[in-house]
Amino acid sequence: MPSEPDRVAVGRVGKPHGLDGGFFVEGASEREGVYAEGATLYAGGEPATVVASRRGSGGRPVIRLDRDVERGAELAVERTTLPSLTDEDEFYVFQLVGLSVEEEGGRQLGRVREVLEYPGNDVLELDSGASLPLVEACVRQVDLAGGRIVVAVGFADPD
Amino acid sequence: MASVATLYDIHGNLAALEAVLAEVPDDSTIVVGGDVVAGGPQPSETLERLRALGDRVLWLRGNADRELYPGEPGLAPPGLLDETRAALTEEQIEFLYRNPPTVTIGRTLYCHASPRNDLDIFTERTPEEQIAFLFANVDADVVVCGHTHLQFDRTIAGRRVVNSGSVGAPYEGPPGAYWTLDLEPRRTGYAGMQEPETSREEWLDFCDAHAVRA
Repeated sequence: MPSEPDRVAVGRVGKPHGLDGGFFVEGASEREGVYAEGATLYAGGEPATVVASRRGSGGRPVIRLDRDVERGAELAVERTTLPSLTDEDEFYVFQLVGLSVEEEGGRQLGRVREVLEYPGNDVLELDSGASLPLVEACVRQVDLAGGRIVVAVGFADPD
Repeated sequence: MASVATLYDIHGNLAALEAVLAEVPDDSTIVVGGDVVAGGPQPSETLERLRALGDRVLWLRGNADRELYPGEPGLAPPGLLDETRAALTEEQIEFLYRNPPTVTIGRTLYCHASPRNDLDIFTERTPEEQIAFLFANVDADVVVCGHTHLQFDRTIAGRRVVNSGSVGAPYEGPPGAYWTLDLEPRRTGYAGMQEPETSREEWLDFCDAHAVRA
């Protein structure tokens, strides 16, 4: 079994759906195949197999696993099972968490603590408390190799 | 950074939205301040027009967006939102429901009604001492709100508080679409614009009677 750092969160066990143990996935990954029947998910840290999978209201995944899981439990996959991203503007959340963030001009703003996912755009939450929209007008460069994100002046608190 | 346009309370009025978008500079960031579709003639088309702008738009959730979601309590009388709900897909309703309550750009906080919720009512003439508590602990120099469909720019508890006005259903004297560009008030005329059935004075009286108190 891979160790925890080798896994990537892809959602959370949400509210029940139906009477057969199915549930909505909250904060679901948009990656194709993550919730497909037969796929392995780590629920609450232990492996489970997806035995039923479909789309519920709003397009959210509704799945059933081969064992009971608690609502709120984290769902994760092994990092090595995720496909490589081909679009240079696409990133996995785990790639962004921990990157340092600086303004054009060099002012340091902090490190990415979390990526909040909203339907319109995602938001970078920094360890300094700043919130920055993950949109082109704000995020000018994501430099994975250099471990940094460069944002436009004006979106962060100037103080 | 480039300019910021605020488009609040569009309420499914596509003609008003189109007129405003024709005046918004191409490189502006657009804050859509909630109540995007409810009660208006073209809810789906209005939402898709805005979504087609991609990540130029930063979205907020208003009370009428939230109340489209099944089981959500709020201000809208029963049945009022049924027509809008029927005109939208589940995906569109979910999109509106899951948007955040606030957005921050620099030292400006954008919210729908007040920093604490999407329902609080206050206007240009609500006494400052009555509503100072809403802003006293807000970590921002400027707060932009909407919700009451009346544009204003005033100081409350040391913060500049700007009501963006309503694009689609203002209770203002001169008809048109009300919005702001870099916090400056704008009014845009368009074909088919109408004066509100409730006058500005009548609406201010209503807001006085229902204004938030500590």
